[in-house]
Amino acid sequence: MGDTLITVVAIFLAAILMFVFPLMSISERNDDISQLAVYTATVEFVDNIRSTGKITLDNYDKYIQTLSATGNSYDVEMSVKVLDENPGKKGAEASQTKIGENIYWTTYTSQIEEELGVGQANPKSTIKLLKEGDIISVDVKNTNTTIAQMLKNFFYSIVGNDTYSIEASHSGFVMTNGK
Amino acid sequence: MKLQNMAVIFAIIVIPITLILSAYIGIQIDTANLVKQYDTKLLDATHDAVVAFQLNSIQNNYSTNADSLRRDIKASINAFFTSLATNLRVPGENAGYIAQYIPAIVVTLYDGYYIYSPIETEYKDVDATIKTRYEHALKPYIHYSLRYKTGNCDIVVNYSLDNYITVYGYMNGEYISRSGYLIAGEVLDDGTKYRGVTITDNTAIEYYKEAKEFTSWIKNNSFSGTKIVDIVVPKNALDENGNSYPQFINDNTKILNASIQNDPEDKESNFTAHKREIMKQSIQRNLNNAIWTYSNHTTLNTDFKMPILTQEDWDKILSNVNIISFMQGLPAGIKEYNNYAIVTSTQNKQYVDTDLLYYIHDGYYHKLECPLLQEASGEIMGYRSIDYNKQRRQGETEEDIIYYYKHNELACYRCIVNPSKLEKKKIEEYNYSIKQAYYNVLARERWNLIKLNVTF
Repeated sequence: MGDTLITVVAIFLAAILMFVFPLMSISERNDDISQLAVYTATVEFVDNIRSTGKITLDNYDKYIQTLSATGNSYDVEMSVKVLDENPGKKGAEASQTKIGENIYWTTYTSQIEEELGVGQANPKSTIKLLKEGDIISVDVKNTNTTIAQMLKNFFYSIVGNDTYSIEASHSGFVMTNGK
Repeated sequence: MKLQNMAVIFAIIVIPITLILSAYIGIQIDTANLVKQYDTKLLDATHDAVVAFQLNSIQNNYSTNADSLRRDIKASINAFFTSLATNLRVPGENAGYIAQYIPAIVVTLYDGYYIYSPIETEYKDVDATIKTRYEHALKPYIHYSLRYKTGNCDIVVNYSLDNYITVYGYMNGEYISRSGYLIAGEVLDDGTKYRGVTITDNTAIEYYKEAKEFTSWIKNNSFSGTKIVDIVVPKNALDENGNSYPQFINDNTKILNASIQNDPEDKESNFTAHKREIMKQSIQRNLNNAIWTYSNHTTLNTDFKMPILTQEDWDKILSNVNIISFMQGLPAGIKEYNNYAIVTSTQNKQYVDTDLLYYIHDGYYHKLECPLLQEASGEIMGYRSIDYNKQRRQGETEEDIIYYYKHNELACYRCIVNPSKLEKKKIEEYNYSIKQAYYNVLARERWNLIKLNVTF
């Protein structure tokens, strides 16, 4: 009886050691590689917008394709903070010794996608122009559960089953006026 | 063999492989992350350099003076190094550590460019002996120029970002030296009408009068039977060693023969194509030399090489004032970093960009193609984008800083604050008022640019 119990425990431990541990390790590396691909694509996408001053449908599509190529699904959140110097200028008229206050307003993913003509048959325009001083920000998270997440949740995670494991964000000032 | 033994042997084999593989992938990931971070930091530092250049040159009324300009450029390069060192977490005295990984910085301006790269300099050692070392310095200004030689004619043409050229050299033994704007299209001799549009601005009138006279001199003036326009053809072009360019050997296009078909202001004209080719070659050759020289004298084990710039990069470089920075050899994980950043200046006094001329209508300033501007009639005033920016001056006391605007109009929300892609037409297709405003503003602002005396 005692030997049988030890054998069952040994088989169980051996199964974990032989299959689950390598599987977890490899799946985590897979997530790391996806994370790298997502981070690289996001930085390239944002820096390209910053240096050219425009978001094009072509570049956006390429970015989404690069994300999809990792085999996961993602939620991409973009925001553009548009610099408006007019209130500052009006303020400066009242007092010559004050610089005046600029304001930003923000447009979000759905508005930007609409301007780019994403999913439209005959879009009016496929380019969104930005100007120097605007701020572009992109934040991406995976929405599916990766194998690594499943295994982690199964073995040792108690809370946070729905949290993401692949995430990248990048933002910065636009450096030139888009043409 | 017992099952337990097999499990242990399996674990002994698999676990180290998995761990090593994990560590290797981890290092690769860290390297790739670091490279991307360096990309962003290089871009940010280059942008800081451009902003520093703009701030210094716009507020400096003497920024077009050669010495003053060098000072502004040196200041912007300092801003670049400070920004890069701070971003890379090596501030203070150690900032010089970064410089060894910067083989060159190029600052492209209106009619030429500066290269900031290590050159051989002499210094006195502690025992008072003169020794040499390589350290970064701003090299002399290089013009976008090309030499054309045939028979007894040997002239050099300096090109610029727009239609301004300088011609100097010998035409059949006679020394010539002259600068001016090359224009196409019908102009009245007194400069009051250009392409059927009445020119009202006195400065603009001067521009057209002078440009017409200069263009006519290039095309028609005969120097012992030879005209300049007949000499400036690509097949007569020589490089610095006096050899012909293989790519130009059968090209007989008269580059300076300005006409509606070869409009020097048209981006598709022969003049522009030739000019861009010269600019590109000049930058490539001198930059390559600078990087190669540094590569041969650096104490680092890095093989510094000039990267291949894309067509999009060249379009940027040849469209306005730019700063291009190269960073190579910086350790990045298991690799050496190697990349460059290009940032275009949009606010400077060096060049009049036609896209950065804004026109006043109904309390707002607009771009040329703005739908709201198309409703305007009568005389429309326009200025360069920098003229709408905030200016500052000192008041009666040192602490008394007064901010003011030259023009109090606000930016149009449709075309400037939140620009949308608007259809660009040729200037001839706009209504008379807009055409008139464009020709007046462009000529006035170009005429007001102070150019360095570039002839010898």
